[in-house]
Amino acid sequence: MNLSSEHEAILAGRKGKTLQKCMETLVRYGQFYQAETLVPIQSAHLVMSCGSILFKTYLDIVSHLTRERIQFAVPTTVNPHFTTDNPGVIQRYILKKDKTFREHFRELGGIETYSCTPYLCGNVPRKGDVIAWAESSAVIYANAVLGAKTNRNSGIIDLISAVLGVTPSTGLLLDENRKGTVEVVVEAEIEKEAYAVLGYVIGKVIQNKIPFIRGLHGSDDEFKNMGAAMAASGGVGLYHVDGITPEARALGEDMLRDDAETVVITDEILSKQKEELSAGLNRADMVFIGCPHLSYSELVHISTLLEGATVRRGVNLWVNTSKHVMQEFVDSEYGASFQRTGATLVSLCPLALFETPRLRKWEIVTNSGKMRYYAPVYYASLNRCLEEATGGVNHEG
Amino acid sequence: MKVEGKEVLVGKAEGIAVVTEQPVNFLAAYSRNLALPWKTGRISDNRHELYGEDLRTAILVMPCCSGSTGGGVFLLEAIRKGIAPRGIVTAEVDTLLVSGAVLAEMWLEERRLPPIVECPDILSCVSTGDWIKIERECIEICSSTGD
Repeated sequence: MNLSSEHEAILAGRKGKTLQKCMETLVRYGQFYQAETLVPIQSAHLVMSCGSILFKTYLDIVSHLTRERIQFAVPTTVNPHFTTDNPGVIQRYILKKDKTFREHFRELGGIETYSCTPYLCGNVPRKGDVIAWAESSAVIYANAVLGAKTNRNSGIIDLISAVLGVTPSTGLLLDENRKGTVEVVVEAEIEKEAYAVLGYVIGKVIQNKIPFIRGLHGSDDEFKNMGAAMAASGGVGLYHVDGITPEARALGEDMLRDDAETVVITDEILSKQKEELSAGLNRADMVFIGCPHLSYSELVHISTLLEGATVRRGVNLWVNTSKHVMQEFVDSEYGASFQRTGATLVSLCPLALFETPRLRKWEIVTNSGKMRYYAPVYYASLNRCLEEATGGVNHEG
Repeated sequence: MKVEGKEVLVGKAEGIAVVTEQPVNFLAAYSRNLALPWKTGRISDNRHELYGEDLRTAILVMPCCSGSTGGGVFLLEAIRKGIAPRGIVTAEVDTLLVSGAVLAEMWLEERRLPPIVECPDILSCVSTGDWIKIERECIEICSSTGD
């Protein structure tokens, strides 16, 4: 691998043992893929902000870094916490290192966004920017919707890239690897709410390929929810939408490989998938909206749908967003009427939350394809979710 | 029968093959076990056909990984805790698996690491129950049916 003299010096240990090991990790990782060089990154985004006892190696490395007073070389944001403000006993056990991690992250100079949507919290890459992001839903959003370039790394590779300011030039960072490898033709009318189910199906069918999708007219928010589901049920890190996403708009059919196979998604496939994801839902104790974190316009949409309704007794309606967007929403003209509905605004990561015995007893429903994949919950469309919460009678959605 | 692959994590191991054609999501597979104070290697992903199986003495044979970008780190931590499979042979590697392997090699120095080998044709030559020996990039398969 071609390294600059500065990087050679780090590799030789002239900037301390921890940075040497970090550099060696990146070089070995790059060598596996025959990367020719390490390229500068514009920003980083990290996962595992909870610093839970699950991630000992991660916390080890972070502690080594802060002990040597090392700081992030680029702007670096971080994923949400796994807990509520009042964690139960088991959550506290799992997350006992939470505080330590937050302190370390601060010392490293991190930006404390605590959100899985860094692109809605000021960390917004431009088209063509090379970045080192973790969080599968943010990776796929940055690659597909923003046209930035990041690989799907393990979070620790992104931590190390953030510290060194470079990452191996491989995979999705190279233009030749960004073409669609499978053509997905959507022959169904996709309603606003169906994007999560569509993402779930595409991920399941194509696994780790790059889909070039035809037949969609969604918004960024809809693509956010579609991508998150796709990156959970499959290993998708990038997709293109014909005529819409930046690379497909710029290069058209050139973004689809000649040897790509074709997959057709029909109404029938979608409704079957939706049925499967909702099967067994009886009466929800908890309705959870916002995985990934909601954008401001999604919050406004929900607040409009909830207008005049109140959450029925015995049911919790949790609406999840970043602290950044939450503040903007609370201060807006919609804030006060939303709060009268009895819904709770939260800012967390729900994926592990409902594993605790106390919450496992709850019947939980969400409109998130990603959350449906990872947590013991049922799927329902947003309308149906809100009806569950407020006791509306129309159960068609 | 012997086949050759590409080393992802260098090492030596042998054990009974557990073969799945379904991609493995290491976050879903190990998150619950890692939170437990005791050791169990049972796969906790109830969407996976290997759900409930303890793979600690097995060589896992799989097509590829799926899911969260945390996947590689969950595998890394499973190795650290001693609940990972004895070895992994995968038809295809992705960046998550490679980064998990490199991180294990660099940061879990003193531990015994399971070999990980990439071998595109592996699913067509192994069945669950076969005995597999891995040494560096070489995979030796002794069929349980004797042929």
